[in-house]
Amino acid sequence: MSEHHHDDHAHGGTISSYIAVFVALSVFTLVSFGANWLVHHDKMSASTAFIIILGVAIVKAILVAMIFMHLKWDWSKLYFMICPAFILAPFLVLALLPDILLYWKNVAGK
Amino acid sequence: MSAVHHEETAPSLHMGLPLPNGKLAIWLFLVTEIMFFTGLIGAYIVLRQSTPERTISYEGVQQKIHWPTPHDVHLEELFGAVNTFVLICSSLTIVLAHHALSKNQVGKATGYVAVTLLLGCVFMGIKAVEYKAKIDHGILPGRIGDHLEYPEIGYQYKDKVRGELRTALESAKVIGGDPKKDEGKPKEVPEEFKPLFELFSELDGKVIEPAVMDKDGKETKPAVLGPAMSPLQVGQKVNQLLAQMESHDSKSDKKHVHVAHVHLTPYVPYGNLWASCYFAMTGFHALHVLGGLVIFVIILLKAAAGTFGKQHEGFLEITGLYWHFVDIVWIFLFPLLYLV
Repeated sequence: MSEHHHDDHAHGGTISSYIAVFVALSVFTLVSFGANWLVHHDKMSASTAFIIILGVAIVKAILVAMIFMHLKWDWSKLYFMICPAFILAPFLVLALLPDILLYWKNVAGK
Repeated sequence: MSAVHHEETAPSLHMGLPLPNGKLAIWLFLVTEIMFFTGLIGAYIVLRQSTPERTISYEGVQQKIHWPTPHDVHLEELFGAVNTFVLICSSLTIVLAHHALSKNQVGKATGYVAVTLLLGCVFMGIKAVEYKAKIDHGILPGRIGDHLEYPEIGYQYKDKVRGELRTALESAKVIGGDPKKDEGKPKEVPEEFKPLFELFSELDGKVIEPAVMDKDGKETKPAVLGPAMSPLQVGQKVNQLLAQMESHDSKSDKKHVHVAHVHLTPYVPYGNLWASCYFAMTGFHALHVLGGLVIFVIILLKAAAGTFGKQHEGFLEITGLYWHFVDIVWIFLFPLLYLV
């Protein structure tokens, strides 16, 4: 592989960036655990907590992917593989919903 | 490129992407793994959304049913949160290992890989504790009382509970035994077994009037029994008993029967569906973690043999990519199973 000008960045983040991401991940884990705790003690509605918890999970996954997995620098070389999976994945779930969810809710539940 | 260069040399063409083969291959593998876990997690989401909260009634007994909450299936959010933190730490250490190796600090890199392996083992240990808790409470796919409002299933459940109670009472010698040998012995039920004995005797109807026997021990008038318990009632009573025993276990007050010593099939609506999803998702995830641990052991063996060095930087990088993917899957599994 030939040397590139942005070699230092191509080799990944700095140690301080890794530690910063680690701290952020830990804080986010506490946030989602805290949201769950608040729901259990009737201090927050379940739907608000759901949005917070799901949002936190997505942000954590993006942080790990971008920094730890080096995607921030490799995205242009890999997006052609990763994007189709994220298109197929929701469609797989959506394809199952009518036969199971709509059927059970409208027909079988009665 | 300037025109002068263009005349002197033909433009150089490169085959493929400017990426090491290993990195391209591992990303392709991870994309297939995304689809793999989508199948499992997607099935869980669809099944869970398809089981709305509703009230069922059978033989005059009503029961509100809903998808099991973590409390219903003895799932502790704290274990999940600790496991999440453990995996996050291990993701940090494996990326630090790669960073160290890129700077030719082989000893440091080996140390970080060893810590990652240790953290992975901690994760598996906590998983093992969780699985044991499930087994102890009888929360296993196909072994949970469910759909009791369907007669064939409901009465099968009742028979099962009757058998389990009989086993528990016989092993404690509360019932059974030889009537000839036990003649003259007090037939008192020990205090701690009273709830179990009560349920056992009421399953087929409470005794309103005892049977009348003549002096030869022959029954002249059969006992008058109340109505037999309906399967839903049995399920509710079993859950009550189990909750009672659990609370005694945690308070460890007065002599009581330990939950672990009595196997009673709990009644958890949609419990079998939940258990199948739970064990499929976390089981396959645990297998993936195990695969990662095997690779770490291989690296440590190479290091012990003195053959681990900067030439393995790419190998360590793709190992890290796999391990981060395992972490991301858990980042989604944890809220789906434990929190929401």
